[in-house]
Amino acid sequence: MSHSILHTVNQSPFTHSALQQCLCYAQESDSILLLENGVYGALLKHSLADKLSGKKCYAIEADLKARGLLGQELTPHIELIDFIYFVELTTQHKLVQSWY
Amino acid sequence: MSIVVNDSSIDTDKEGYLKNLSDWNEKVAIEIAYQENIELSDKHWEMINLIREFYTNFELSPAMRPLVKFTATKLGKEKGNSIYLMQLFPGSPAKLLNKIAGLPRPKNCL
Amino acid sequence: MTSSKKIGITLGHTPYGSDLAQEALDATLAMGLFGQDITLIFWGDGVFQLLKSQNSESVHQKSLEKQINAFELYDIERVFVCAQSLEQRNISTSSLCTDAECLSPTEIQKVLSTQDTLLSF
Repeated sequence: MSHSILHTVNQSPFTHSALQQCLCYAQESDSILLLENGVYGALLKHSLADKLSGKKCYAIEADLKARGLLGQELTPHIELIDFIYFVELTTQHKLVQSWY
Repeated sequence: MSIVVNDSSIDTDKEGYLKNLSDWNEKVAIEIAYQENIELSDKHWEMINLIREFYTNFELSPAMRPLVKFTATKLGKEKGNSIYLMQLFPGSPAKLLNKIAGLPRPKNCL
Repeated sequence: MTSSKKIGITLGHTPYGSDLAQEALDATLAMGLFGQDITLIFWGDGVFQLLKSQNSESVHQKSLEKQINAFELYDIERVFVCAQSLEQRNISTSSLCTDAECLSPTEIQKVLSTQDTLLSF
């Protein structure tokens, strides 16, 4: 088990500062998971996207699919995962911090 | 549930805590204590006034530990200990004292 | 006695706008009573919970400030606040109701990494 933190973000970065705050406290070794409305973060370009690319970043594929985002140009480096892998991620990290 | 004081009925929950804090007065305290087989002495009143001060300060019904600490700060160590409180309010001092003082049941108090 | 877990409670939401702040406080005091090793971290809009002179009677809610003042009686001793969040909101430490220790985001990262579990409110 790694000693890092899994940060989950479930709000759109276009209306809410959850992702921005998360990036303020996440270390390089931490992971970020976008879920629910948080998956809109996968559309980001520019500064926040740059910060995301430095860390291991995941998004729930079902949430992207539901919102019609799979056909859009997504931020590179984001790994699309299913719910089973989400559970696995929570066990692979020492801590989970939810941003909502 | 309710208790009757001076011919008027006062609502309580099923454990006997007052539903409306504003219903409390000294006669109500005496009646609740009587139902718990406690006759209120000056020492009891000192603690009743103290726990009401706690509630005014912190908006919390204290459980045992904070109650003991607060009592020790305000009245000294001879009174701020669980043995003293157990003697005055046998069994579950924090719960009894909150009830008699007309305060809500303390959360998380065993 | 079993050794207690180190529990980090992170508070990132405004008081009174939702139940989150009160729920965090309930959880904190309950765990304090059971002798858990608790660290509180106020960050983001959570720093507003620490402001002095709250008068929540006007919105018919319990005062968070008054309850926070009881921390010592519940053995809650490690309280941290994010200096950057305070600065962004133009709040000075003299406006806070408790003497929380101000930490930078980097120092907060260190505090987080020493916890055994986190509860995010």
